[in-house]
Amino acid sequence: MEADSPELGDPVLELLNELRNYSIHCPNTPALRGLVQDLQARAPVGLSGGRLPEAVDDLAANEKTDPELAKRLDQVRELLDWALDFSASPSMSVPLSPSAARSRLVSQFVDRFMAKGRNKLTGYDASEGALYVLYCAALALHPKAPRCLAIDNVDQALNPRLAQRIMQMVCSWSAESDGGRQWLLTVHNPAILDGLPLGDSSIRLFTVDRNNRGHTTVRRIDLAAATESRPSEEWTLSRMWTGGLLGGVPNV
Amino acid sequence: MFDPLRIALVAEGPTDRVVVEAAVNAMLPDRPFVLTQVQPEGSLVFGELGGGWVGVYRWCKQASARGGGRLSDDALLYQNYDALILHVYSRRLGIHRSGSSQNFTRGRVVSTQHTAVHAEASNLCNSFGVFLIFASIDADVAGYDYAEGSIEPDPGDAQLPCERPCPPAHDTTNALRSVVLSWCGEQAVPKRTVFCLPSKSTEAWVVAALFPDDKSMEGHIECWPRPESRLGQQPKKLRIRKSQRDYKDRVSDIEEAWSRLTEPGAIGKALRFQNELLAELTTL
Repeated sequence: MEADSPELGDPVLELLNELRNYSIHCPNTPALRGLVQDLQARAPVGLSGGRLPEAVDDLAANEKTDPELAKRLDQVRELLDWALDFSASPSMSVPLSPSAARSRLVSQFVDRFMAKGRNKLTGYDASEGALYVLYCAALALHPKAPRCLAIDNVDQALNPRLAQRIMQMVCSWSAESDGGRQWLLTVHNPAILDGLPLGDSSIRLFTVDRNNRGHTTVRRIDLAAATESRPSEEWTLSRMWTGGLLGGVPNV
Repeated sequence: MFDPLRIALVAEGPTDRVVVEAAVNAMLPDRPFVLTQVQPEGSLVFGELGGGWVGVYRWCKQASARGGGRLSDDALLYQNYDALILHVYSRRLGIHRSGSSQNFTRGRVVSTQHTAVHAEASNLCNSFGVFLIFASIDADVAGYDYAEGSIEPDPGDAQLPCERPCPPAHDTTNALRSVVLSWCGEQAVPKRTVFCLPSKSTEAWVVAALFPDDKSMEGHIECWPRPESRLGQQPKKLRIRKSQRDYKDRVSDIEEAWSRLTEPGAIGKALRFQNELLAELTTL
């Protein structure tokens, strides 16, 4: 690459800058709850899930002045059918077990069904699926989130239907964001596939297998012809995957 | 760098997959492939999951239903795979005649004609980067009836049992081929689909590959009633169990012996499988 090449302008530098900030996230429940320190800190959230309450606090503050963000956070609230709302609160203001590690902030949820006044749950107690949803939302919606990132096992701890919906939303948010964002995700939950709008060529599905020589092979699943010849409602990608029709399954 | 061949395998069990994979490895030495065993949908609470010939039956029914009644119209299957191998076997036919005139030919001469076919198929694959789909059943299914598999056959399903005297082994495997085709809603084997129908069971091929001096090889191994029983009837250091682990330990031996199995006059069903697979590759 020649620095003075006329073809190379800002887009290339922009790409290199995006790649420089690229990171592989692999959240785990103890880090999301704040029970352990995330040793791989990043903005807005750590690679293991640390600083989630701070990211949630930023989003809650930004939504007051950003109607588009407010609309998307409402979509996130709809995903948590048991919760009325989520936020971040100073850890000193909520009752916590003395054994819990205390960060400055904790994630907090308002339970829809519990008695008023006693209906607040912290990230220490809440369903872990809710924490993973907030983690995805922070990476998708926070202004400081890297534009190009990967999440390993994005589907862990998610109910199949929740996994499907969050994937639908992430794809939609990514398409609507300024300049676009690129996410590389690995999944093992078949339901995730049902939430992928693969008719949009910017959303791509790949299977990873080993061939007969033990080499890793990656193949894009292109269902254009099949969806043309069959009404899509007859099929679910999740069934096709578990049945082995897409590849990407072990021979067990 | 070419995409690997994508092969879907419909087989009765995991040990069959190990043997079929070894065979395809031997047939396509220069062509990487990904072989995936496809399975019927099911939940244990509603009945046994898809193993054995019943699993193959259920898979054929589900795939042909996806295709509106015909396997060959299952667009999703054929779009994602290049070839389908259907593997079933026919053990319960079992009218064994020792001293058959069709003795197994020992030796390791590789037919030059077959080598040429290998090269041609391999070249075509490499030229176009094609895939392929397959399916595999042991012919012991021929000895069962549908009730034994708790199956209420559809009106179009050909009759079971369909056993014929053995030898010749191909009478039964041909009858079974028609039965499996009826499960798939087909009159003839669809394109990019290869039937792998060992007579009795795949273990006939394993015995022939690993124990060429076994007593079952003195007659016609393809008509030996329970070839898998010979696996454990070997000297202690050589005997194996019918298990994935033991088969995987010996997979290179099976692969190496494949050319011997497919010599004319040796294992007829192995040769037919090879010929049909390589022929299918040349049409892609």
